[in-house]
Amino acid sequence: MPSDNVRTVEVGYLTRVEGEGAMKVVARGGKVQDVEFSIFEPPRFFEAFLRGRHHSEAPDITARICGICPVAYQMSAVHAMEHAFGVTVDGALRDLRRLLYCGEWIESHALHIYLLHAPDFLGYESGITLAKDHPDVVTMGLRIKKVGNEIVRVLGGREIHPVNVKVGGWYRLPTRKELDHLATELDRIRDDALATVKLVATFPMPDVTRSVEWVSTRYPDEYPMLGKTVVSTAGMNIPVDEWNDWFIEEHVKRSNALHSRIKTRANYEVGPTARFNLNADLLSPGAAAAAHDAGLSAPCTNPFRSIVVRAVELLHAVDEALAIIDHYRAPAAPAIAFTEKAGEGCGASEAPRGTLFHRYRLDARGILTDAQIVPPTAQNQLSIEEDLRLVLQAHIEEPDDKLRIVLEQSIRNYDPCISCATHFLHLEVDRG
Amino acid sequence: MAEPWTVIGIGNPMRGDDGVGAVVAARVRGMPGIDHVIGDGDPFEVAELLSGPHNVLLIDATRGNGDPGAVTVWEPRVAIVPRSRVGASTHGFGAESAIELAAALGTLPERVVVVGVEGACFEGEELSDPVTAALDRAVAAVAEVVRHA
Repeated sequence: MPSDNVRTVEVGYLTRVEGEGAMKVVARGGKVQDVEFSIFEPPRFFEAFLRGRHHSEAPDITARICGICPVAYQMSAVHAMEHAFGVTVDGALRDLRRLLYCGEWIESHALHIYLLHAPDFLGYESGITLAKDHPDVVTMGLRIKKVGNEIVRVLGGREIHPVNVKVGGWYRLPTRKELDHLATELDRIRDDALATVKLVATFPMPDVTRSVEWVSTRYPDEYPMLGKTVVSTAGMNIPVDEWNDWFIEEHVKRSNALHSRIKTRANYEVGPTARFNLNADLLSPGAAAAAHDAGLSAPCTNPFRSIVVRAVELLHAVDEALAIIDHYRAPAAPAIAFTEKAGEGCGASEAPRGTLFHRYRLDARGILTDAQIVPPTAQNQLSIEEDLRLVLQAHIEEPDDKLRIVLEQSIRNYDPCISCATHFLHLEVDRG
Repeated sequence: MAEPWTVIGIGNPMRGDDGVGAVVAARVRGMPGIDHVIGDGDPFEVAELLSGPHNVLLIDATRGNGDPGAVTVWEPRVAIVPRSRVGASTHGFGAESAIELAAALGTLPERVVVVGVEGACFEGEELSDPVTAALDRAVAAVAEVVRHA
């Protein structure tokens, strides 16, 4: 039974996160006692669903795991298959994949910044109430997002669940006219993207500092989207196919999503802040300058400043997309020929919210016999809890309603996509 | 002459009955009076689409709106509520939220009609039996709205 001085605050839903989960924080005598972030949406069993399917089906099936980051799922999936078959997709075919990925970063980051996260910083209940008072701001966000959608539509064949990516390359290549159209659209929102960095840099930031092992993929000379190796701020530098030698997924009773940690160490963080902290030198010159002007430098240790990092990545994605289109020369064929063979392959790419790892085992006919999908939000669960602990301690004297807002905001720092990891977050604050 | 209708199905076909919007949208493609159909509607995109001269008809799964398979047609009265009501759509941002957002941005077209189909199960890639049985009624409901526009 709670004692007289225990207060419990329950929030019906934590909206503005992707999926369904719960948070409970317990404090006693002004000290944090326990923090639980849990995902209770039933596991979606996509891994089991993929077994027995032909490899050509996997990119489209995995793309449907999430309506927000289908490109990431497709990319990690095709990379894993290509690894298994010994196929290397590079040059213009690979550049087009990065362009598609830029589209997803632009739409996802614009959505999260303007409609999901900015309301927290500006004191609004939702993107809708923010839109009512600041329609110009939200309209700018939607304008940016629309260009991201357009890239995904042109390259992917459809806006929401692109269908044009295949093992070995593409089904259909875009025309120069289509790419020029995208360049015109991108030019139109470049100032908006820069204005986004400037805008979020003015947001009041809760003062929290923490260090964690940040993890991202890396590709020589590129701010990472399609990874070749996995690196961390603690010195990890491994090929993607050594993932399971370093990372472990564990079932934890309070969550339906597996918790990830680094085997010999502890929790880690993936996502925009991790990418920035490990690859800031690889940003486009314009994004790097905007980061500098926003007072952002690596390592970024305030988790709330992830919104600024996300905006810098948004600008980078616009610049990168324009550069790719500018340099593009159509390849001879839309895809590389390959022979199916039995084996195992791993692929990792940078979903907007962090590293997404896939591993598949295939038989000689190219049928999937085993699948492993490690989504970013599942990997970040322990770090989300660590942040909640810090934020709760820093704000423990605040009244429940203010505490609730800052804790929710703290979770949204991670742009969690809970439905990927396994819909609404219930929050309970229990303290004495 | 009546304005043509844009029909938008909202939802994710990989989430069971959430996919009913896309299925009904596919079935009404080419129907007289409808000039644009979007199958896999992203609700945030819908907010942008809810502008211009076109009438907009949204098809979405509902939850808590009758027995599974119940088809409901309504023209939402827009009120900006502090915490957006949550439809059954993927990621908790459904047709009503999209309409609220468009209203907040001042871009709502003259007419917005929602055809809702009450879902039973929001997991898996199949529609449930009651929702499958409701498809003809949902298509008829769309035809009725367009005919009387």
